[in-house]
Amino acid sequence: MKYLLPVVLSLLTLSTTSCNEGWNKPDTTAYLLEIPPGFPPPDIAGDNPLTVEGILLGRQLFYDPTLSGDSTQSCAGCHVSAFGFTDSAVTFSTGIRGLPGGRNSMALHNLAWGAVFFWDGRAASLREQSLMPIQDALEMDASLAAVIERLKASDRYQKGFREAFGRNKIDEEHLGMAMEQFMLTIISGNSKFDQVAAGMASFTASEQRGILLFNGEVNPSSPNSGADCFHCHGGVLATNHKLMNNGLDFVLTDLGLGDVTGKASDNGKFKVPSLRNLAFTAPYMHDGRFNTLMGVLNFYNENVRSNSPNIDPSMGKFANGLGLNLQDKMDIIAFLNTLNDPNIGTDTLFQNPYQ
Amino acid sequence: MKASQKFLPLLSLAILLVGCDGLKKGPVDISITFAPVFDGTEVVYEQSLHQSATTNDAFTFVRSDLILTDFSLLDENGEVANEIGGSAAYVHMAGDLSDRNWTLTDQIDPGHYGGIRFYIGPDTSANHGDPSLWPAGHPLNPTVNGLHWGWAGGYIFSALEGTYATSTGTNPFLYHIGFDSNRVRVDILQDIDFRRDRNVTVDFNLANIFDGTHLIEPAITGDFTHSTFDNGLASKVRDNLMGAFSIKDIY
Repeated sequence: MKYLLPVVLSLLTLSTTSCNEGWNKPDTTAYLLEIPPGFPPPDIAGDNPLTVEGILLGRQLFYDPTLSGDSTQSCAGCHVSAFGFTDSAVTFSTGIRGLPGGRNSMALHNLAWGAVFFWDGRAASLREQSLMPIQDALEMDASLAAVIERLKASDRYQKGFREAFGRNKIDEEHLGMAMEQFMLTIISGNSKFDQVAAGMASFTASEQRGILLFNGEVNPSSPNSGADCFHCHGGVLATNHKLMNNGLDFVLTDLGLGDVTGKASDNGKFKVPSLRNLAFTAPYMHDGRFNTLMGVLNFYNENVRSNSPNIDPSMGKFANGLGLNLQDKMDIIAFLNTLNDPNIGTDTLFQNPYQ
Repeated sequence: MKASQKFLPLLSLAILLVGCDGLKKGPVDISITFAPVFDGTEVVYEQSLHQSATTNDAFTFVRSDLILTDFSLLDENGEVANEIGGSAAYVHMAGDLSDRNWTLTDQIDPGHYGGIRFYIGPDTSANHGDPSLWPAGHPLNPTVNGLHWGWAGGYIFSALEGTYATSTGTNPFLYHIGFDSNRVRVDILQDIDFRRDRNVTVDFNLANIFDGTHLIEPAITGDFTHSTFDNGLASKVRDNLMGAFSIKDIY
């Protein structure tokens, strides 16, 4: 009898600790992220391994308007696959209250290589990022608590969360983790540029000249002086993932990173976007001020504000203009168009699972 | 069983591994933390202003990123005594302590040494290899360092950026040092006791970029280089970097 109490206590302890996690662990199928040739391996958080079940759940959530306050708008409402997962050619997206947002909808692709998210870098992970628009009054304007209750009331999501994460896992943390898993799978690496890099296609003369200008530094002493785009948009990912001031304005109406850190030296800095899929993602810049790529190039060619606070040193040589003529700009645009991936809008892995 | 009988084996094992004097019997760990300074004064990136001791330039630093490779220990004659082949680090001087750290674990033979050596930039093989082969988190993975040129092939070995102020105004400077010929060896000669795990603070004197083997006045010598068609500016910066490092503290 004297041994009965310790045995009972031991059994209770086991049942509430390790054994509990053991029997609640779902039988998931691991998903191996397909990395395009030439892409460096991404550093993905180990506490949220990709599974078929988790990705499917995340895709369902991404396309589900019940995550918004009035159940009318999903994440996909402002991140449309046909537009490279930006909004449909609008400067600012409109939320459920009919109010416009303050920044242009960002393209979603190759997020597995990103370190921070949003134009101002305020989210350190995709799971963190995915919960913010849901709560933003200018966007989906919902309370997470209300969203969680809706999900719990759904048989589909009861099953989905159970299969992805186990029982009793419908909560904010796992909502973000599911969304993270899905967004990590939106990979874009099948453009003409990629085909050329793999030796399966060739640039036209204009595209070839364009890539030379794109990758040429601004250097009057060099016979290969170019547009210096590669400094911030180089490599297969077409971005350096940094937050920088590229000299758009002398007077800053949007502080960007500075609003997040509170540091004056961060004012005017925004995330350098990837230049992939530009044919689908107009308008351009954090505030969508340029409707065309020619507009972007004209800015860099002759309108960089060298006295913009905290302008990046790499923009220093733009103060005197790049000296690009019309043909130069057309060739650069021709090269940029080789970065467009037709699969981004058609790959069934990214499409609406409810259609 | 008495308490002393329980702990005696453990104590014996500890003494066997470490020794009564705290010295390790096996490989030691070295943790190097780089500290950006300007002639001894701490550099606060994007904030502090530093007056050159030799010119009229006053500098603010925005970025000092380095790829360091092939760490080794030197003997009293300055010859390599213990080489850690394949070692690499990406040092982001403007970052936190962890961004400025190079730790070598269980790779250093314990003993007395005459200095340390490393290179700024990867060797030719790594510089021209496929960067997509480096695993996630490796210092040479382009996503980690953001220093791979892609198109030109190869890495930027050091990215040094900021502004310089003269009597006529403030302008940016940008020195991106790359290409095999600009790989530079750094030797720091100093008697060092590495018979136990050590933390080493290495000062990176940014003043040396402009006033070392060569005097560089950005407005005159050049304030921009990507290591080509620059009238030798990159090679001057490279030479100056050789003398920019010193051991401040070992504990």
